[in-house]
Amino acid sequence: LLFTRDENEVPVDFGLAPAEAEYLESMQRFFDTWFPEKDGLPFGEGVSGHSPSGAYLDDEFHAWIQLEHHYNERLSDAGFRGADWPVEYGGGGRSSLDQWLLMEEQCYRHLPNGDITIRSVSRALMQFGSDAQKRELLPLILRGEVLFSVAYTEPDAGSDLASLRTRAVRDGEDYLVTGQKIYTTFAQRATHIWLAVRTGTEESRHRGISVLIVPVDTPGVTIQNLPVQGGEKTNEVFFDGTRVPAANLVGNENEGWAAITAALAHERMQMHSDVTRLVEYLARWLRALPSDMEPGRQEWADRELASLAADLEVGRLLALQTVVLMDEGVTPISEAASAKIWLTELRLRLVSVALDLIAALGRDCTRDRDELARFEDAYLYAPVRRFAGGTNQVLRSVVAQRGLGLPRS
Amino acid sequence: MHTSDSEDQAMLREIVRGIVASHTDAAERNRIEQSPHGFDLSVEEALGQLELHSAVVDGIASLTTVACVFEELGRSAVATPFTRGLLAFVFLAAARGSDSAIDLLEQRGPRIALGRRRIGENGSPSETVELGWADVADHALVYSTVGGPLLELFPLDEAEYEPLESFDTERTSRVLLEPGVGTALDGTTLSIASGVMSVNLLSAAGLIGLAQGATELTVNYVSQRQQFGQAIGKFQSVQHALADVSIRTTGARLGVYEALWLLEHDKPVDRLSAIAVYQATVASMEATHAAVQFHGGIGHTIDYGLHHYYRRAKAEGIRLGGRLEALQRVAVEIRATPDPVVLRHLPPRVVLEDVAR
Repeated sequence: LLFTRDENEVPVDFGLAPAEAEYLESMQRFFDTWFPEKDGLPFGEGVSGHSPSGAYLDDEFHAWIQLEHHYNERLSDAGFRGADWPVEYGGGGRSSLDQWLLMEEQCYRHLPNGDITIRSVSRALMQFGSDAQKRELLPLILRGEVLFSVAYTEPDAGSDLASLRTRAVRDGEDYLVTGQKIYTTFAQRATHIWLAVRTGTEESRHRGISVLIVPVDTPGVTIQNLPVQGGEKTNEVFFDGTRVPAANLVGNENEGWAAITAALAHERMQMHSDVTRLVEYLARWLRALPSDMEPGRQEWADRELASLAADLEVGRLLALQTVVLMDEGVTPISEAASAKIWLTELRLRLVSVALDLIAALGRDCTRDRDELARFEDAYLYAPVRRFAGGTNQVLRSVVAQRGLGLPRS
Repeated sequence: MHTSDSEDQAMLREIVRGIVASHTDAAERNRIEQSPHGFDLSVEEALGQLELHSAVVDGIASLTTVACVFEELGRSAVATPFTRGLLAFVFLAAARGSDSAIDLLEQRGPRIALGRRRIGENGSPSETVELGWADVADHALVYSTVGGPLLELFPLDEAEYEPLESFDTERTSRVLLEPGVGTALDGTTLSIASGVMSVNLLSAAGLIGLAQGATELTVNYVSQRQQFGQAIGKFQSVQHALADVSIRTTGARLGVYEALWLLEHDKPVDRLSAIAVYQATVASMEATHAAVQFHGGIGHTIDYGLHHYYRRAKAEGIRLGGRLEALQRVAVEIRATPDPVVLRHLPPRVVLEDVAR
């Protein structure tokens, strides 16, 4: 009686629909054709924005930017860029799952995978931007010709973003902006800055914040590289009475908080990462080891790997769940935070364990220099992920309060 | 793809929750544990009326649907012979193809207890088998992979029992059932492996339920309990620990359901199944450990009832082999895979087909 269910009603389903599998295959063919893996990786190790040398605006970085530009054009031509954007904005109208599959594939192949402009800023722009802004910027974003750098954080406003102090004062048809931003990643390559400013009183917190779109070549904008471990291209950006047209205000004055939180939420949704590939590297490395190791070593190495692989599966499923909920029309705030916490914690643990294993089992590490360098680079960069895009401590509070319903502190 | 319940599954959960509603009362639950049978007869009858056994045999109830029942029973920390019997039917359904198994399924009447032969002395299959709720079963379905696959059915009316002290509310006995004496069912290595995986994953779903139930009790408690002039659930140390528990439980739960789905759709699942059991074991440990910690003294009292979760989570985990055994199985599965390709998104995928089954 209970189980005479409608043939069309599917219970829990973990399979890809034929159309989704087909889409996945089409993107795999595309990448195999245009960006095959030969002589290492098509973009080197520096895909996430860190170059092994850590050099700033060096030849290597310029070459990388050229390559990425070419890459974005190809993606755009093939309809993969903005595949999940609404059709009215020139997108492909595809599902979040399709988009996630694309980003996972890119990530796995060490290809740039959905920059912050197309994934996050553009979404806030669609929701809060003026018609003129959308008309002008969205098509260029789709082509990869407009790239944003996001400027929220200040020296005294990190996790407590609502305390930011960079000031914008109305002056006729313009705003005059004064203040300093920090950890403004990729500003040196961006065309525009997505800038959070204080337009309300000093005490107005999130009710007095606005968002301005500032072209990087605006007079009075100074971008200064801030060298960090791992070589990520981040900066300090100074505004000294910088004149920005009021037409560049996103949404209404003092209502920028909604645009910021929307953009941040999109940054965390569709989480994906190169943890998968790193686990594979480690597994292959372990497998290639000679079998005459000291008794017992193989076994504990296997168990370390098993534990990482088991946690990787959980990360994949948490990310997938987020995407599936998005396609069901749910905004997965707590779920997205969960996936972000899990995957970023796992990444640091993975690279740390990998280096320990290589140290313990590698014997002559120089022989496996490539593997060692890969995990050393990843080790330097891994901590950033745990606090960037919403620090994991704040996100745990999000999971506790929004997910579990615990009282606000 | 979707990970939420179908309407039928959601309804089934509601029904099961209704049936075990009396178990939310700690005093009643303690009374049941102390009773001669050790389980609630009315719950047993009501669960039986769902006719899940027939639905499993007829292939109408999917494994993920059955998992909903195990999850809900776990959520209320209910121990009942019903689950052992249902596991036996799931096992038999997975081992289909054998005439004698089908005959037995068609009778559908017998109450079956499921047991596994461990490795006995000198490496041969053990002569005794530990059975759950053997005193209220009339048959035992016993499987073994020691020295080749063996699947046997024993009548229990004249068997000798030795009741065992149980760590939790599950009643177990050691029963002398010599190998080769029962009715042999044609179980192949593959079908026994599928049977084992099915029942392990359903038990894992029960562990997930235990983790959820313990966390729900805890969220409720820390939201009320006042110390230092405020609800202790407002402290970040409490919130963050519970957030981590909840993330792990959610992830493990998805793993269990995905593995069941893969199993049911004849996709390679050995590794994911091992991973899901491992994660469920870890999640139930972490959730119940956090639960007793954040409850403090009250959580240890017999009157409060959290002890049912704490004990049962560990005991059920041990019955599954324990966390270390589960991790070892993951390690073995990874080593058995020709190329260390990890599951990247979802089946169907070409790489998956290459993974040796």
